[in-house]
Amino acid sequence: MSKQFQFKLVLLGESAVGKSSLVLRFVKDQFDDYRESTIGAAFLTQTVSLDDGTSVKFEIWDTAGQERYKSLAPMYYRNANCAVVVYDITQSSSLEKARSWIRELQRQADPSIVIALCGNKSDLAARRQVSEEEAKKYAEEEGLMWGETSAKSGDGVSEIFTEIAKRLPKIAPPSARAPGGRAAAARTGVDLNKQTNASGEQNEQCNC
Amino acid sequence: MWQNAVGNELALSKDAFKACMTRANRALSSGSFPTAVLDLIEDDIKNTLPSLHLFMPGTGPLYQDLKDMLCAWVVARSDEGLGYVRGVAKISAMILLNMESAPGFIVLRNLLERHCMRSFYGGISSKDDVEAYYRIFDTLLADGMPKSTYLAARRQKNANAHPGLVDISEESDPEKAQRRSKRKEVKAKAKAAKEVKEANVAEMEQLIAKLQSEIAQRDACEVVSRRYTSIADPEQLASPASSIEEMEEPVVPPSSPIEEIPDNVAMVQGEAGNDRDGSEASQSPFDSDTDATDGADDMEVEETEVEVPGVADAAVVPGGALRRSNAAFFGRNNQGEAVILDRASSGDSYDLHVASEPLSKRQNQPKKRKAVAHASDLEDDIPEAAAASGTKASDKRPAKPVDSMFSSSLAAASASAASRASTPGMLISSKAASPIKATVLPVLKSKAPTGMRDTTLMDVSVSADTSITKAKGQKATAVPNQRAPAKPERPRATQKKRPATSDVPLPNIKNSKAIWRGQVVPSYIHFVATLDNLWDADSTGEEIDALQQSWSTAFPNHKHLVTAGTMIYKVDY
Repeated sequence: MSKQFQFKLVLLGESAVGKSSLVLRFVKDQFDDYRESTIGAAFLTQTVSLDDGTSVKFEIWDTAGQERYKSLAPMYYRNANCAVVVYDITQSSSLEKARSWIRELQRQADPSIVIALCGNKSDLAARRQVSEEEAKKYAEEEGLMWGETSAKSGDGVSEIFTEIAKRLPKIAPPSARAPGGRAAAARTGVDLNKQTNASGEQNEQCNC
Repeated sequence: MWQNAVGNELALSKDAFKACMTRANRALSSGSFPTAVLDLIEDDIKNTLPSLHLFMPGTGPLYQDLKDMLCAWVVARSDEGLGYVRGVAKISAMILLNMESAPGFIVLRNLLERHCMRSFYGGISSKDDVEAYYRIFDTLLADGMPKSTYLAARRQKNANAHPGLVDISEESDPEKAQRRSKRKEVKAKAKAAKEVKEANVAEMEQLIAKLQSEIAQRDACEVVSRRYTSIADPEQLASPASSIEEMEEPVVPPSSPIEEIPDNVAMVQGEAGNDRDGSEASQSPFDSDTDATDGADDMEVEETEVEVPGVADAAVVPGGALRRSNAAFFGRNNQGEAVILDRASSGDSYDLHVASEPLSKRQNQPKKRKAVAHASDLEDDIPEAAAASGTKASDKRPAKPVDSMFSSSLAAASASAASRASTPGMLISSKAASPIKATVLPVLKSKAPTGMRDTTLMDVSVSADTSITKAKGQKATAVPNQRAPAKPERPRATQKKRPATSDVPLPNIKNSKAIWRGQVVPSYIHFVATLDNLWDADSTGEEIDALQQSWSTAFPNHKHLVTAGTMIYKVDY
């Protein structure tokens, strides 16, 4: 009998770095050359089976990267168990944006959140502006997972999600067997209790 | 911030949400919570900011919060028996995006307890309140903006003319339709009141105009008799007065003042303002040679008799047949003065240059240009323009235009004096060989000394108006939209087709102003707005085509060639 865990994953990052493409590749194994910019957020789920017989179901919140949706981001990453912060290796400015997202997550989100830094568009290595070493060094400093992916070719996509899935259960106990709503989750999940508190504080700060 | 902005007039405690939530949960678990309300809430949540996915049932991170808040809100109002109202979910959602549930609940309750909000979110029991608000609004609107109220009412009537303004509310909600009909009643009342008011104003203006004209005439008598006794034909001097008197007889207060009166007013004003001082001033240098100019008049007739059906008489520029405008498009500026859209300096409301030049009349280029000059003359009396028209005319034929105009006015004047009993409109065609068929002179607010060519013509135009009014009286069923082809031997026949509306910009086209504003301008603006860089809009190619298309769609029966003018700017940056 395999155990199934359910985790909430949120994707953050600058506009047009490929968050939605990454998710599309991960969930449906598709790629779309001309993708519309995300409005608000998109919600998808995907289950990853691990070697140890457990399976992890990701509830993926693919947020909009445009600046005007920034104020909504806390709604999406609150209660999130893991976050994938995406940058574009051909845009050094997107790494800066990723840094600021990571800072915000560390400050506002649940302390136990697993953050992965993901350099997308590795198929465009010829136009690379962000070196692997630079990003890797930063990730190590902050204690983040790191990987480079290409949503277009599919390289590294499933790897990084699997890596996250492997890392998660060690930190957080299964939140719920089935999606039983927030009340049920709060009853069984120690982490979620913490998160509720955290989000309360965070919202007070944000009432500007 | 929202807490502070909304306040807490209800003095709810911080625990209000918790208390209501507890009651709601108890009701939910015991099954006493009305399922209809619950379904309504669920349904409303589904339609709440769906693209954000935040309130998606089941997975949305804020779904449960929203549902809790709405249930608590229903419970909090349950003692008043108000139930849930569609739309509260949206407000709650906005609140929840900005704050936690407990303070958000206090904000929601206080916000929806305010005057208007309480009525609009009070469910069926506050229907009367809502209607009262609508009535108040309509009354205020009709009072503060009578014109737009009237226009809105009219727009509703012929919604087909404005495909963009299709009202869908009636189909969707019978209640709304009811409200709408009530509103219409109120509007109709306001309209009636306004009509009475306008009728009074028009009457007053007529009186004033009459007074002014009398004064002007007296002055003219004095000046002319003093300075030019040699030509002072007493009949000629008497003529303006006579034309006024004759004119006023047919100007019966029309049945629908809104439609009719502005024309009359404009007519009277134009006459009063321009006639006298113009003729008085203009007589000096051009007091000779009536015969020669009569010849010139005849020439004009010959030239203009080649009438093309479909030409908008509309763009009639004062100044006689020769000056019948092929180029100007009349509008009105804020002061109600006639403006010609050709002109850049006037700051008028229409920035589009429509040269309403009929395709088939382009060969008359020189005439056209002169017409423009005249138009500008009329508008702000620019000396260069006058000079231009003068030179233009002089190189075209020996007699100066002023001469001809003056003589025609003389002819008309004397004729009217002679045959006072007969219809004043007739005398033009009989005596002056009717070169002046195009002198409807929409609005000419008397601006001090207007060009004399224009003003001398006014006599004729007045009589033309009179005859038109008479014709209308006889034939009330004349369809203004259709334009009969002009008959060569009697060019004035077209003139009698007077539009039944007060739309001055394009006489002969019903509602032309409304169509211009409601269709041509918006469609062109729409085109400009879809340009990649709308500052690129210049007067070449596409823009002209677009404007042409707008025009052709709006006025399919009135073909015009849109040409580039000075008003379509290319912005350099």
